[in-house]
Amino acid sequence: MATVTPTDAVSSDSAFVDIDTVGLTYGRGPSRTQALNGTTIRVRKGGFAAVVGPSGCGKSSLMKLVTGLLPPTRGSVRVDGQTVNGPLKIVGMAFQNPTLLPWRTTLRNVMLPLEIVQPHRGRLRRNYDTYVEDARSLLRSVGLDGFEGRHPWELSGGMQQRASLCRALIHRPDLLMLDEPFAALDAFTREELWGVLQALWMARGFTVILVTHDLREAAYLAEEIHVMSARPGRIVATRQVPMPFPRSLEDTFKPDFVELVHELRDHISRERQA
Amino acid sequence: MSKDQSTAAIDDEPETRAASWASRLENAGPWLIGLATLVIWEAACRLLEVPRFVLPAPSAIWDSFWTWRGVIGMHAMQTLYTTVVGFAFAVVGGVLLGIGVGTSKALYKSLYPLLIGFNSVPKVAIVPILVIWFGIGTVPAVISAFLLSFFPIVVNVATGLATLEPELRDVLRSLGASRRDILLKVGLPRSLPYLFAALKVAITLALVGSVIAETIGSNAGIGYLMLMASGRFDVPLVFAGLFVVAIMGVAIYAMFAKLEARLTGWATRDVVYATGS
Repeated sequence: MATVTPTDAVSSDSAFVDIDTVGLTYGRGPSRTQALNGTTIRVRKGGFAAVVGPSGCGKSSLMKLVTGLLPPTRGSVRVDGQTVNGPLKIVGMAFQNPTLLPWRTTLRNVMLPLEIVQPHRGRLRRNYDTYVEDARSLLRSVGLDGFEGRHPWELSGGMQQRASLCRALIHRPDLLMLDEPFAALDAFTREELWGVLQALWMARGFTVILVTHDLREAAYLAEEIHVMSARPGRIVATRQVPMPFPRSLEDTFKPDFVELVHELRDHISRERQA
Repeated sequence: MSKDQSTAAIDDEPETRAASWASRLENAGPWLIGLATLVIWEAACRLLEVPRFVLPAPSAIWDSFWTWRGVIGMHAMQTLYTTVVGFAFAVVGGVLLGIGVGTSKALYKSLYPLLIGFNSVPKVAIVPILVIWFGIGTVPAVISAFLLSFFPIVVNVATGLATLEPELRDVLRSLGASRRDILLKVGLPRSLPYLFAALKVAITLALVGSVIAETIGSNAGIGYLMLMASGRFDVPLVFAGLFVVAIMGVAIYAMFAKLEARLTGWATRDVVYATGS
């Protein structure tokens, strides 16, 4: 595995994802809520950015903006040089809830995006065996070989989340959006999946934006961590994570790592009081 | 009890035997209770010497059924026919309207109050109107079967579609899925358990609708037969008609339950676990 070294702050033109002074307001009149205000985040191609913040700071709104599910009220979102104004097909998503379909086997759950995204959709029937082989090797890479024919309810929470990751990646998206994907798992499973995600990222080179409230998770996985303020959310601090990849769980106990997590925690608690 | 047997009790085998007994008893439950009811009924009629025209004993009902089996069979077929046709229309119409109401907020808001109002109208009151419009016979029975079974299907299909998890919708929408894709890949399969729950209720309601229409304006069907029989104070025949309707209802219900288990086994999976597969 190649080692990836974190880059310096990403400039506007080289950014793969460019969220530029974005504001987002829900509703009208007295029930108006401002979810985001002047948020700016840039992520390089193939980069791994984490967004942390107090709960209810508009992290999930950010996900919807980048994937084109919601238009921003102010500012602009650009992905791969194009302004986002509708659903992006080059995105894979995974959430805290694995949202697998209970009537499909694991393999067919993973293959769901292929039935929707072009050009795979048109090719699926003719090249079915190749695609099945693709899905199987993806499942193998997250340690789910032998479970292809099982239904989601026969899998543990961690296994369901692995399958959900596979579903987000099967159509080879350039951008992976993760909304607290490991929040519902126990600590051991969570740490195991950090390793799985890091290996996938290093092997496939997609860009990741990870929304999380777990600071150790952010520091373990990301090149760059953005701290959001309480609602309306904006970025109050951005920290590079200088440790080289691949990182191991051992690294998370080293002094500079602990110090980084500590500093992030300070930022968050200040935001919570504000 | 010998010492050997008491140590064997520590083993979990007797427990599983007890469990299999319990499940066998559970399965036999409806039959046992039904049989017990008939026995008590029969005994009560004989001991208290209840007149036949007040409450006939099960044996008298059976006699009457056997004597009139040809006629009963003919009327039962008519009832079954109007029920199934009315029900089929209700399934097609109900699923289509359910999809409309479940996927479009505008349609939901504008149609739901009307549907509630429509469902609150006693269907018995509509049958005479149907008879005026379509004459005596098959058509009013089919329509009233349709009217009674239509509503639960619409409501359940709409509920199944409307309760789709927003995250799942986001996953699909972010992939560029059209509304039709979401409906076909996720919405409809997901609302199948809701649909079947509705079908099981709706089929018995359809039967009620047919029989009501037959008692009010028809010259065929179990409802008509019961009306004629009660006119002649042939109470055992009335009861025989009641039993035929009940048995038809249970039979069709069981058919749908079987179909449901095959198509939506994933939704009732705890039952699968309970039988140890």
